[in-house]
Amino acid sequence: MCHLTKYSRLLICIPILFSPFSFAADEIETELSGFGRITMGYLDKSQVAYQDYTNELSIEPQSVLGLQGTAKYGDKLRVTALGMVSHELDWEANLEWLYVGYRPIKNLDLKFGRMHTPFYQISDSIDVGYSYHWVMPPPEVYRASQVPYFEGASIQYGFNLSDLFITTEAYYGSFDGDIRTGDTKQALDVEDLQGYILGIRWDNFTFRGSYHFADVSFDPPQQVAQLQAGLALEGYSQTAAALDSKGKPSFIQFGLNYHGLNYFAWAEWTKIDTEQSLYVGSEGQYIGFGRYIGAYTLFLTYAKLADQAPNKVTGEIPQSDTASFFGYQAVVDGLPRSDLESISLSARWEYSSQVAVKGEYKYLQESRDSSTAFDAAQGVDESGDSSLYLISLEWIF
Amino acid sequence: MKLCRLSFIALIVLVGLKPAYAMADEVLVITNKASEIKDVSRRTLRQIYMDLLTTHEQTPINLPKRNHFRTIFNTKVIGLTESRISSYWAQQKFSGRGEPPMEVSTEKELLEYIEKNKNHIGYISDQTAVPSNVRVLMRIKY
Repeated sequence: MCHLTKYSRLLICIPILFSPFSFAADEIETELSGFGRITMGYLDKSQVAYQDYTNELSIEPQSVLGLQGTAKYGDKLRVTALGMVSHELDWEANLEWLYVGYRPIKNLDLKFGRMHTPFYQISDSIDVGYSYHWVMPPPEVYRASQVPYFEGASIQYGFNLSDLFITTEAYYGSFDGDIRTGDTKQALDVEDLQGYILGIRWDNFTFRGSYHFADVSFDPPQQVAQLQAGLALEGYSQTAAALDSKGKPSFIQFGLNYHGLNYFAWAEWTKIDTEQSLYVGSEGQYIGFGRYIGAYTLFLTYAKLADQAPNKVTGEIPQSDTASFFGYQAVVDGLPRSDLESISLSARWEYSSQVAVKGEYKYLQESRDSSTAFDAAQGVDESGDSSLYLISLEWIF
Repeated sequence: MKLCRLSFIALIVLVGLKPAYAMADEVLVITNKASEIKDVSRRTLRQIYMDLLTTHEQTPINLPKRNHFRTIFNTKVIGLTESRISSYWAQQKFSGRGEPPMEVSTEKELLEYIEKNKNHIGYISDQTAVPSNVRVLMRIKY
Protein backbone atom coordinates (compact mmCIF):
# COMPACT_ATOMS: atom_id res chain seq x y z
CA MET A 1 0.00 0.00 0.00
CA CYS A 2 2.90 2.29 0.72
CA HIS A 3 3.70 2.31 -2.99
CA LEU A 4 0.24 3.35 -4.04
CA THR A 5 1.35 6.87 -4.81
CA LYS A 6 4.13 5.58 -7.07
CA TYR A 7 1.72 3.34 -8.99
CA SER A 8 -0.57 6.32 -9.30
CA ARG A 9 2.32 8.33 -10.71
CA LEU A 10 2.75 5.78 -13.50
CA LEU A 11 -0.93 5.72 -14.26
CA ILE A 12 -0.84 9.47 -14.59
CA CYS A 13 2.43 9.59 -16.57
CA ILE A 14 1.73 7.05 -19.27
CA PRO A 15 -1.50 8.43 -20.71
CA ILE A 16 0.21 11.83 -20.87
CA LEU A 17 2.77 10.28 -23.21
CA PHE A 18 0.05 9.42 -25.61
CA SER A 19 -2.22 12.37 -25.15
CA PRO A 20 -0.98 14.22 -28.26
CA PHE A 21 -2.27 11.36 -30.37
CA SER A 22 -5.77 11.72 -29.09
CA PHE A 23 -5.93 14.97 -31.04
CA ALA A 24 -4.24 13.49 -34.09
CA ALA A 25 -5.61 12.95 -37.53
CA ASP A 26 -7.95 10.09 -38.38
CA GLU A 27 -5.23 7.97 -39.97
CA ILE A 28 -3.40 7.66 -36.65
CA GLU A 29 -4.60 4.62 -34.77
CA THR A 30 -3.72 4.33 -31.07
CA GLU A 31 -3.77 1.30 -28.83
CA LEU A 32 -3.16 0.91 -25.13
CA SER A 33 -2.36 -2.46 -23.59
CA GLY A 34 -0.60 -3.61 -20.49
CA PHE A 35 0.45 -6.34 -18.13
CA GLY A 36 0.88 -6.88 -14.45
CA ARG A 37 2.13 -9.35 -11.93
CA ILE A 38 1.78 -9.72 -8.19
CA THR A 39 4.20 -12.34 -6.93
CA MET A 40 4.69 -13.52 -3.39
CA GLY A 41 7.86 -15.37 -2.46
CA TYR A 42 9.72 -16.93 0.43
CA LEU A 43 13.27 -18.29 0.70
CA ASP A 44 13.80 -20.84 3.47
CA LYS A 45 17.32 -19.68 4.30
CA SER A 46 18.30 -16.99 6.77
CA GLN A 47 20.84 -14.20 6.33
CA VAL A 48 20.87 -14.42 2.51
CA ALA A 49 18.70 -13.16 -0.31
CA TYR A 50 18.09 -14.81 -3.66
CA GLN A 51 16.73 -12.48 -6.35
CA ASP A 52 15.75 -10.21 -3.41
CA TYR A 53 13.67 -12.93 -1.73
CA THR A 54 14.52 -13.65 1.90
CA ASN A 55 13.10 -15.75 4.71
CA GLU A 56 10.33 -13.20 5.13
CA LEU A 57 7.29 -13.36 2.87
CA SER A 58 7.52 -10.60 0.31
CA ILE A 59 5.50 -9.42 -2.66
CA GLU A 60 7.96 -6.77 -3.79
CA PRO A 61 10.85 -8.33 -5.73
CA GLN A 62 9.04 -9.50 -8.86
CA SER A 63 5.78 -7.61 -8.83
CA VAL A 64 5.48 -5.33 -11.81
CA LEU A 65 3.00 -3.17 -13.65
CA GLY A 66 3.51 -2.16 -17.28
CA LEU A 67 1.56 -0.09 -19.73
CA GLN A 68 2.28 -0.12 -23.46
CA GLY A 69 0.98 2.40 -25.92
CA THR A 70 1.29 2.20 -29.69
CA ALA A 71 0.40 4.89 -32.20
CA LYS A 72 0.25 3.60 -35.79
CA TYR A 73 0.37 5.75 -38.85
CA GLY A 74 -0.83 3.47 -41.63
CA ASP A 75 0.75 0.01 -41.97
CA LYS A 76 4.34 1.18 -42.00
CA LEU A 77 5.04 3.65 -39.23
CA ARG A 78 4.44 3.29 -35.51
CA VAL A 79 5.60 4.72 -32.20
CA THR A 80 5.65 2.37 -29.21
CA ALA A 81 6.26 3.22 -25.58
CA LEU A 82 6.34 0.92 -22.59
CA GLY A 83 6.29 2.34 -19.08
CA MET A 84 6.91 0.15 -16.06
CA VAL A 85 7.08 0.28 -12.30
CA SER A 86 8.79 -2.47 -10.33
CA HIS A 87 10.89 -3.12 -7.25
CA GLU A 88 14.02 -3.23 -9.45
CA LEU A 89 13.22 0.31 -10.54
CA ASP A 90 12.57 1.44 -6.93
CA TRP A 91 8.88 1.75 -7.85
CA GLU A 92 9.65 4.80 -9.93
CA ALA A 93 7.91 4.97 -13.30
CA ASN A 94 10.49 4.14 -15.95
CA LEU A 95 10.28 4.22 -19.71
CA GLU A 96 11.52 0.77 -20.77
CA TRP A 97 10.84 1.25 -24.46
CA LEU A 98 10.25 4.26 -26.62
CA TYR A 99 10.92 3.65 -30.26
CA VAL A 100 9.81 4.54 -33.73
CA GLY A 101 9.23 1.49 -35.89
CA TYR A 102 9.22 1.60 -39.67
CA ARG A 103 8.15 -1.41 -41.73
CA PRO A 104 8.60 -0.52 -45.43
CA ILE A 105 7.68 -4.08 -46.42
CA LYS A 106 5.99 -6.80 -44.41
CA ASN A 107 9.17 -8.68 -43.50
CA LEU A 108 11.55 -5.79 -42.83
CA ASP A 109 11.34 -3.91 -39.54
CA LEU A 110 13.53 -0.95 -38.58
CA LYS A 111 13.43 0.51 -35.07
CA PHE A 112 15.02 3.61 -33.60
CA GLY A 113 14.97 4.61 -29.95
CA ARG A 114 15.01 2.75 -26.64
CA MET A 115 14.40 -1.00 -26.90
CA HIS A 116 14.82 -4.15 -24.82
CA THR A 117 18.28 -5.69 -25.23
CA PRO A 118 17.56 -8.93 -27.12
CA PHE A 119 19.92 -11.26 -25.26
CA TYR A 120 17.56 -14.20 -24.76
CA GLN A 121 14.73 -16.25 -26.20
CA ILE A 122 12.18 -14.27 -24.18
CA SER A 123 14.02 -10.95 -23.76
CA ASP A 124 11.23 -8.95 -25.35
CA SER A 125 8.51 -10.43 -23.18
CA ILE A 126 10.38 -11.32 -20.01
CA ASP A 127 8.32 -8.84 -17.99
CA VAL A 128 5.06 -10.25 -19.34
CA GLY A 129 4.83 -13.23 -17.00
CA TYR A 130 1.46 -14.25 -18.42
CA SER A 131 3.17 -15.30 -21.64
CA TYR A 132 5.37 -18.07 -20.20
CA HIS A 133 5.19 -20.95 -17.77
CA TRP A 134 7.73 -19.99 -15.07
CA VAL A 135 7.06 -17.60 -12.22
CA MET A 136 10.75 -16.69 -12.36
CA PRO A 137 12.57 -17.40 -15.64
CA PRO A 138 15.81 -19.18 -14.55
CA PRO A 139 18.20 -16.43 -13.35
CA GLU A 140 21.03 -18.89 -14.05
CA VAL A 141 20.53 -17.89 -17.70
CA TYR A 142 18.46 -14.70 -17.58
CA ARG A 143 21.06 -12.83 -15.53
CA ALA A 144 22.27 -10.07 -17.83
CA SER A 145 19.32 -7.93 -16.79
CA GLN A 146 21.83 -5.25 -15.75
CA VAL A 147 21.43 -4.02 -19.33
CA PRO A 148 17.68 -4.39 -19.76
CA TYR A 149 17.43 -1.94 -22.64
CA PHE A 150 19.60 0.06 -25.01
CA GLU A 151 19.27 3.23 -27.00
CA GLY A 152 20.07 2.90 -30.67
CA ALA A 153 18.78 1.19 -33.79
CA SER A 154 17.82 -2.31 -34.84
CA ILE A 155 16.98 -3.98 -38.11
CA GLN A 156 15.05 -7.23 -38.45
CA TYR A 157 14.42 -9.16 -41.66
CA GLY A 158 12.36 -12.34 -41.92
CA PHE A 159 11.95 -14.72 -44.82
CA ASN A 160 10.74 -18.19 -45.70
CA LEU A 161 13.15 -20.79 -46.96
CA SER A 162 11.35 -23.97 -47.93
CA ASP A 163 9.49 -24.95 -44.73
CA LEU A 164 11.59 -22.72 -42.52
CA PHE A 165 10.79 -19.24 -41.26
CA ILE A 166 14.05 -17.43 -40.69
CA THR A 167 14.57 -14.13 -38.89
CA THR A 168 17.80 -12.18 -38.83
CA GLU A 169 18.37 -9.20 -36.58
CA ALA A 170 21.19 -6.77 -35.86
CA TYR A 171 21.27 -3.87 -33.43
CA TYR A 172 23.65 -1.16 -32.28
CA GLY A 173 23.43 1.21 -29.34
CA SER A 174 24.44 2.15 -25.82
CA PHE A 175 23.21 1.96 -22.24
CA ASP A 176 23.79 4.23 -19.29
CA GLY A 177 22.59 2.87 -15.96
CA ASP A 178 23.51 1.18 -12.70
CA ILE A 179 24.72 -2.20 -11.52
CA ARG A 180 22.69 -3.15 -8.50
CA THR A 181 24.21 -5.48 -5.89
CA GLY A 182 22.01 -5.80 -2.84
CA ASP A 183 21.34 -2.25 -1.70
CA THR A 184 24.37 -0.73 -3.44
CA LYS A 185 24.47 0.72 -6.92
CA GLN A 186 27.44 1.42 -9.20
CA ALA A 187 27.29 3.49 -12.35
CA LEU A 188 27.49 1.34 -15.49
CA ASP A 189 28.35 2.66 -18.94
CA VAL A 190 27.89 0.45 -22.00
CA GLU A 191 29.04 1.77 -25.37
CA ASP A 192 29.24 0.21 -28.84
CA LEU A 193 26.75 -2.42 -27.78
CA GLN A 194 25.95 -4.60 -30.75
CA GLY A 195 24.36 -7.95 -31.39
CA TYR A 196 23.49 -10.34 -34.20
CA ILE A 197 20.61 -12.75 -33.92
CA LEU A 198 19.42 -15.67 -36.02
CA GLY A 199 16.07 -17.31 -35.46
CA ILE A 200 14.77 -20.39 -37.25
CA ARG A 201 11.29 -21.83 -36.94
CA TRP A 202 10.38 -25.21 -38.35
CA ASP A 203 7.03 -26.72 -37.51
CA ASN A 204 6.89 -26.86 -33.72
CA PHE A 205 10.59 -26.17 -33.23
CA THR A 206 12.20 -22.77 -32.69
CA PHE A 207 15.94 -22.17 -32.63
CA ARG A 208 17.65 -18.92 -31.66
CA GLY A 209 21.33 -18.13 -31.66
CA SER A 210 22.86 -14.76 -30.88
CA TYR A 211 26.18 -13.04 -30.32
CA HIS A 212 26.59 -9.70 -28.52
CA PHE A 213 29.52 -7.55 -27.37
CA ALA A 214 30.15 -4.07 -26.00
CA ASP A 215 32.63 -1.70 -24.39
CA VAL A 216 31.67 -1.75 -20.71
CA SER A 217 32.92 0.36 -17.84
CA PHE A 218 31.76 0.88 -14.28
CA ASP A 219 32.95 2.69 -11.18
CA PRO A 220 35.29 0.23 -9.41
CA PRO A 221 35.28 0.01 -5.60
CA GLN A 222 37.69 2.55 -4.05
CA GLN A 223 40.00 -0.19 -2.71
CA VAL A 224 40.43 -1.63 -6.24
CA ALA A 225 41.01 1.81 -7.78
CA GLN A 226 43.74 2.53 -5.21
CA LEU A 227 45.42 -0.83 -5.80
CA GLN A 228 45.33 -0.31 -9.56
CA ALA A 229 46.91 3.14 -9.25
CA GLY A 230 49.62 1.73 -6.95
CA LEU A 231 50.43 -1.15 -9.32
CA ALA A 232 50.69 1.24 -12.26
CA LEU A 233 53.06 3.50 -10.29
CA GLU A 234 55.29 0.55 -9.47
CA GLY A 235 55.48 -0.42 -13.14
CA TYR A 236 53.20 -3.48 -13.09
CA SER A 237 51.37 -2.18 -16.13
CA GLN A 238 49.92 -5.52 -17.30
CA THR A 239 48.44 -6.32 -13.90
CA ALA A 240 47.17 -2.78 -13.46
CA ALA A 241 45.52 -2.96 -16.90
CA ALA A 242 43.82 -6.24 -15.96
CA LEU A 243 42.19 -4.43 -13.02
CA ASP A 244 40.79 -1.83 -15.35
CA SER A 245 37.06 -1.50 -14.92
CA LYS A 246 36.79 -1.01 -18.68
CA GLY A 247 36.39 -4.20 -20.65
CA LYS A 248 34.90 -5.73 -23.76
CA PRO A 249 32.87 -8.72 -22.64
CA SER A 250 31.06 -10.84 -25.19
CA PHE A 251 27.86 -12.83 -24.80
CA ILE A 252 26.77 -15.85 -26.80
CA GLN A 253 23.40 -17.54 -26.58
CA PHE A 254 21.70 -20.60 -28.09
CA GLY A 255 18.12 -21.56 -27.44
CA LEU A 256 15.82 -24.29 -28.67
CA ASN A 257 12.23 -24.94 -27.87
CA TYR A 258 9.49 -27.31 -28.95
CA HIS A 259 5.76 -26.81 -28.53
CA GLY A 260 3.39 -29.68 -29.23
CA LEU A 261 -0.26 -30.17 -28.44
CA ASN A 262 0.38 -31.94 -25.15
CA TYR A 263 4.09 -31.58 -24.44
CA PHE A 264 6.71 -28.89 -24.74
CA ALA A 265 10.39 -28.42 -24.00
CA TRP A 266 12.76 -25.47 -23.65
CA ALA A 267 16.53 -25.29 -23.46
CA GLU A 268 18.92 -22.37 -23.47
CA TRP A 269 22.67 -21.99 -23.05
CA THR A 270 24.58 -18.75 -22.56
CA LYS A 271 28.19 -17.79 -22.02
CA ILE A 272 29.80 -14.50 -21.00
CA ASP A 273 33.48 -14.16 -21.89
CA THR A 274 35.87 -11.48 -20.71
CA GLU A 275 39.60 -10.89 -20.50
CA GLN A 276 39.49 -8.48 -17.55
CA SER A 277 40.21 -9.65 -13.99
CA LEU A 278 37.30 -7.66 -12.58
CA TYR A 279 34.69 -9.27 -14.82
CA VAL A 280 33.68 -12.80 -14.03
CA GLY A 281 32.89 -14.84 -17.12
CA SER A 282 30.19 -17.45 -16.74
CA GLU A 283 28.13 -20.17 -18.33
CA GLY A 284 24.43 -20.56 -17.67
CA GLN A 285 22.02 -23.14 -18.98
CA TYR A 286 18.66 -24.74 -18.42
CA ILE A 287 16.62 -27.54 -19.88
CA GLY A 288 13.00 -28.19 -19.09
CA PHE A 289 10.03 -30.30 -20.08
CA GLY A 290 6.38 -29.44 -19.73
CA ARG A 291 2.92 -30.83 -20.13
CA TYR A 292 -0.34 -29.11 -21.07
CA ILE A 293 -3.37 -30.51 -19.30
CA GLY A 294 -6.35 -28.44 -20.37
CA ALA A 295 -5.98 -25.00 -18.79
CA TYR A 296 -3.08 -26.24 -16.65
CA THR A 297 0.61 -26.34 -17.50
CA LEU A 298 3.28 -28.19 -15.57
CA PHE A 299 6.97 -27.60 -16.20
CA LEU A 300 10.12 -29.10 -14.71
CA THR A 301 13.40 -27.19 -15.13
CA TYR A 302 16.99 -28.06 -14.40
CA ALA A 303 19.32 -25.03 -14.44
CA LYS A 304 22.99 -24.45 -13.80
CA LEU A 305 25.21 -21.41 -13.43
CA ALA A 306 28.99 -21.78 -13.37
CA ASP A 307 31.09 -18.64 -13.04
CA GLN A 308 34.62 -18.98 -14.34
CA ALA A 309 37.74 -18.22 -12.33
CA PRO A 310 38.81 -14.61 -13.02
CA ASN A 311 41.62 -14.15 -15.50
CA LYS A 312 44.72 -13.62 -13.39
CA VAL A 313 47.93 -12.01 -14.55
CA THR A 314 50.83 -14.17 -13.36
CA GLY A 315 54.57 -13.64 -13.39
CA GLU A 316 54.65 -9.85 -13.51
CA ILE A 317 54.63 -9.10 -9.77
CA PRO A 318 57.41 -10.91 -7.88
CA GLN A 319 56.27 -12.65 -4.70
CA SER A 320 58.93 -10.67 -2.85
CA ASP A 321 56.78 -7.56 -3.36
CA THR A 322 54.30 -8.88 -0.85
CA ALA A 323 52.06 -5.81 -0.67
CA SER A 324 51.43 -5.70 -4.43
CA PHE A 325 51.42 -9.47 -4.95
CA PHE A 326 49.01 -10.34 -2.15
CA GLY A 327 46.98 -7.17 -2.65
CA TYR A 328 46.25 -8.21 -6.24
CA GLN A 329 45.61 -11.86 -5.30
CA ALA A 330 43.21 -10.80 -2.54
CA VAL A 331 41.14 -8.60 -4.88
CA VAL A 332 40.89 -11.20 -7.64
CA ASP A 333 40.32 -14.17 -5.31
CA GLY A 334 37.74 -12.15 -3.38
CA LEU A 335 35.48 -11.69 -6.39
CA PRO A 336 32.20 -13.55 -5.80
CA ARG A 337 31.58 -16.58 -8.02
CA SER A 338 28.71 -18.97 -8.35
CA ASP A 339 28.52 -22.67 -8.88
CA LEU A 340 24.80 -23.10 -8.64
CA GLU A 341 22.41 -25.85 -9.66
CA SER A 342 18.66 -25.80 -9.31
CA ILE A 343 15.56 -27.82 -10.03
CA SER A 344 12.21 -26.14 -10.19
CA LEU A 345 8.65 -27.27 -10.68
CA SER A 346 6.30 -24.67 -12.11
CA ALA A 347 2.52 -24.83 -12.46
CA ARG A 348 0.34 -22.44 -14.43
CA TRP A 349 -3.42 -22.24 -14.49
CA GLU A 350 -4.94 -20.15 -17.22
CA TYR A 351 -7.99 -18.67 -15.55
CA SER A 352 -8.94 -16.78 -18.71
CA SER A 353 -7.31 -15.61 -21.92
CA GLN A 354 -5.98 -12.63 -19.94
CA VAL A 355 -5.31 -13.95 -16.45
CA ALA A 356 -3.10 -16.77 -15.17
CA VAL A 357 -2.21 -18.00 -11.71
CA LYS A 358 1.18 -19.62 -11.25
CA GLY A 359 3.13 -21.36 -8.54
CA GLU A 360 6.74 -22.47 -8.41
CA TYR A 361 9.01 -24.44 -6.13
CA LYS A 362 12.75 -24.05 -6.72
CA TYR A 363 15.43 -26.08 -4.99
CA LEU A 364 18.85 -24.40 -5.09
CA GLN A 365 22.28 -25.84 -4.35
CA GLU A 366 25.20 -23.38 -4.20
CA SER A 367 28.73 -24.75 -3.87
CA ARG A 368 30.56 -21.48 -3.23
CA ASP A 369 30.47 -19.48 -0.02
CA SER A 370 30.69 -16.09 -1.78
CA SER A 371 28.21 -16.29 -4.61
CA THR A 372 27.06 -13.96 -7.38
CA ALA A 373 23.63 -15.60 -7.19
CA PHE A 374 22.96 -14.68 -3.56
CA ASP A 375 23.25 -11.44 -1.61
CA ALA A 376 24.43 -11.44 1.97
CA ALA A 377 26.42 -9.38 4.41
CA GLN A 378 30.19 -9.81 4.11
CA GLY A 379 31.42 -12.98 5.78
CA VAL A 380 28.10 -14.82 5.62
CA ASP A 381 28.44 -18.28 4.06
CA GLU A 382 26.16 -18.36 1.03
CA SER A 383 26.81 -21.99 0.11
CA GLY A 384 24.42 -24.86 0.77
CA ASP A 385 20.85 -25.79 -0.05
CA SER A 386 17.79 -23.59 -0.04
CA SER A 387 14.26 -23.61 -1.35
CA LEU A 388 12.32 -20.79 -2.93
CA TYR A 389 8.52 -20.78 -2.94
CA LEU A 390 6.66 -18.46 -5.31
CA ILE A 391 3.03 -17.83 -6.12
CA SER A 392 1.93 -15.32 -8.70
CA LEU A 393 -1.07 -13.69 -10.30
CA GLU A 394 -0.32 -12.50 -13.86
CA TRP A 395 -2.49 -10.64 -16.27
CA ILE A 396 -2.53 -8.81 -19.58
CA PHE A 397 -5.03 -6.39 -20.96
CA MET B 1 -46.17 -49.40 -26.76
CA LYS B 2 -46.64 -46.11 -24.93
CA LEU B 3 -43.15 -46.46 -23.49
CA CYS B 4 -41.74 -47.01 -26.97
CA ARG B 5 -43.48 -43.89 -28.26
CA LEU B 6 -42.22 -41.83 -25.33
CA SER B 7 -38.68 -43.12 -25.86
CA PHE B 8 -38.89 -42.23 -29.53
CA ILE B 9 -40.09 -38.69 -28.72
CA ALA B 10 -37.36 -38.32 -26.07
CA LEU B 11 -34.76 -39.42 -28.63
CA ILE B 12 -36.02 -36.89 -31.17
CA VAL B 13 -35.96 -34.13 -28.50
CA LEU B 14 -32.43 -35.10 -27.44
CA VAL B 15 -31.20 -35.15 -31.03
CA GLY B 16 -32.94 -31.84 -31.56
CA LEU B 17 -31.21 -30.37 -28.52
CA LYS B 18 -27.76 -31.48 -29.60
CA PRO B 19 -25.52 -28.58 -30.50
CA ALA B 20 -25.10 -27.86 -34.19
CA TYR B 21 -21.46 -29.01 -34.13
CA ALA B 22 -22.54 -32.46 -33.05
CA MET B 23 -23.90 -32.94 -36.56
CA ALA B 24 -20.77 -31.71 -38.25
CA ASP B 25 -17.78 -33.90 -38.83
CA GLU B 26 -15.60 -31.62 -40.92
CA VAL B 27 -14.24 -28.10 -40.64
CA LEU B 28 -13.92 -26.32 -43.98
CA VAL B 29 -11.07 -23.92 -44.64
CA ILE B 30 -12.36 -21.29 -47.04
CA THR B 31 -11.34 -18.27 -49.05
CA ASN B 32 -12.82 -16.05 -51.74
CA LYS B 33 -12.87 -17.63 -55.23
CA ALA B 34 -11.07 -14.55 -56.55
CA SER B 35 -8.12 -15.32 -54.24
CA GLU B 36 -4.88 -16.48 -55.84
CA ILE B 37 -4.75 -19.39 -53.41
CA LYS B 38 -6.25 -22.51 -54.99
CA ASP B 39 -5.13 -24.99 -52.37
CA VAL B 40 -3.18 -24.86 -49.14
CA SER B 41 -1.18 -27.27 -47.00
CA ARG B 42 -1.62 -27.55 -43.24
CA ARG B 43 1.90 -26.24 -42.75
CA THR B 44 1.20 -23.14 -44.87
CA LEU B 45 -2.11 -22.62 -43.09
CA ARG B 46 -0.35 -22.83 -39.75
CA GLN B 47 2.23 -20.29 -40.92
CA ILE B 48 -0.52 -17.94 -42.10
CA TYR B 49 -2.31 -18.14 -38.74
CA MET B 50 0.94 -17.70 -36.77
CA ASP B 51 2.08 -14.79 -38.96
CA LEU B 52 5.16 -16.73 -40.09
CA LEU B 53 4.70 -16.39 -43.82
CA THR B 54 6.14 -13.56 -45.84
CA THR B 55 5.17 -14.82 -49.29
CA HIS B 56 1.39 -14.69 -48.96
CA GLU B 57 -0.86 -11.72 -48.40
CA GLN B 58 -3.65 -13.72 -46.77
CA THR B 59 -5.44 -12.24 -43.77
CA PRO B 60 -6.53 -15.01 -41.39
CA ILE B 61 -9.82 -14.82 -39.51
CA ASN B 62 -10.61 -16.69 -36.31
CA LEU B 63 -13.92 -17.66 -34.76
CA PRO B 64 -14.25 -16.61 -31.09
CA LYS B 65 -12.33 -18.30 -28.28
CA ARG B 66 -14.02 -21.43 -26.93
CA ASN B 67 -15.83 -21.92 -30.26
CA HIS B 68 -15.90 -25.66 -30.99
CA PHE B 69 -14.60 -25.30 -34.56
CA ARG B 70 -11.81 -22.99 -33.46
CA THR B 71 -10.70 -25.62 -30.96
CA ILE B 72 -10.65 -28.24 -33.73
CA PHE B 73 -8.76 -25.89 -36.05
CA ASN B 74 -6.20 -25.16 -33.31
CA THR B 75 -5.77 -28.84 -32.56
CA LYS B 76 -5.65 -30.18 -36.12
CA VAL B 77 -3.94 -27.33 -37.97
CA ILE B 78 -2.03 -25.11 -35.57
CA GLY B 79 -1.13 -28.09 -33.39
CA LEU B 80 -1.27 -26.07 -30.18
CA THR B 81 -3.71 -25.50 -27.34
CA GLU B 82 -5.62 -22.23 -27.03
CA SER B 83 -3.61 -21.54 -23.90
CA ARG B 84 -0.29 -21.81 -25.72
CA ILE B 85 -1.59 -19.74 -28.64
CA SER B 86 -2.65 -16.99 -26.20
CA SER B 87 0.86 -17.01 -24.70
CA TYR B 88 2.42 -16.88 -28.17
CA TRP B 89 0.38 -13.83 -29.15
CA ALA B 90 1.09 -12.10 -25.83
CA GLN B 91 4.81 -12.52 -26.59
CA GLN B 92 4.40 -11.29 -30.16
CA LYS B 93 2.26 -8.33 -29.15
CA PHE B 94 4.44 -7.05 -26.32
CA SER B 95 7.59 -7.45 -28.41
CA GLY B 96 6.08 -5.39 -31.23
CA ARG B 97 6.30 -8.33 -33.64
CA GLY B 98 2.70 -8.86 -34.53
CA GLU B 99 -0.94 -9.02 -33.65
CA PRO B 100 -3.21 -12.07 -33.41
CA PRO B 101 -5.57 -12.80 -36.32
CA MET B 102 -8.78 -10.82 -36.45
CA GLU B 103 -11.66 -12.44 -34.65
CA VAL B 104 -15.34 -12.49 -35.59
CA SER B 105 -18.31 -13.53 -33.47
CA THR B 106 -20.12 -15.88 -35.83
CA GLU B 107 -19.62 -18.01 -38.93
CA LYS B 108 -22.07 -15.72 -40.72
CA GLU B 109 -19.83 -12.74 -40.03
CA LEU B 110 -16.79 -14.71 -41.15
CA LEU B 111 -18.49 -15.62 -44.43
CA GLU B 112 -19.34 -11.97 -45.03
CA TYR B 113 -15.65 -11.04 -44.70
CA ILE B 114 -14.60 -13.85 -47.03
CA GLU B 115 -17.21 -12.88 -49.63
CA LYS B 116 -16.21 -9.21 -49.56
CA ASN B 117 -12.42 -9.61 -49.38
CA LYS B 118 -10.43 -11.77 -51.78
CA ASN B 119 -7.39 -12.09 -49.51
CA HIS B 120 -9.08 -13.35 -46.36
CA ILE B 121 -9.01 -16.92 -45.17
CA GLY B 122 -11.12 -18.61 -42.51
CA TYR B 123 -12.86 -21.77 -41.42
CA ILE B 124 -16.47 -22.88 -40.87
CA SER B 125 -18.40 -26.02 -40.05
CA ASP B 126 -19.47 -28.30 -42.90
CA GLN B 127 -23.07 -27.74 -41.77
CA THR B 128 -22.87 -24.15 -42.98
CA ALA B 129 -23.82 -23.54 -46.60
CA VAL B 130 -20.87 -22.38 -48.70
CA PRO B 131 -21.80 -19.45 -50.99
CA SER B 132 -20.99 -19.76 -54.69
CA ASN B 133 -18.19 -17.17 -54.60
CA VAL B 134 -16.36 -18.96 -51.79
CA ARG B 135 -13.79 -21.72 -52.36
CA VAL B 136 -13.18 -24.62 -49.98
CA LEU B 137 -9.40 -25.01 -49.67
CA MET B 138 -9.29 -27.86 -47.22
CA ARG B 139 -11.57 -30.23 -45.35
CA ILE B 140 -10.43 -31.09 -41.84
CA LYS B 141 -12.00 -34.27 -40.52
CA TYR B 142 -12.29 -34.80 -36.78
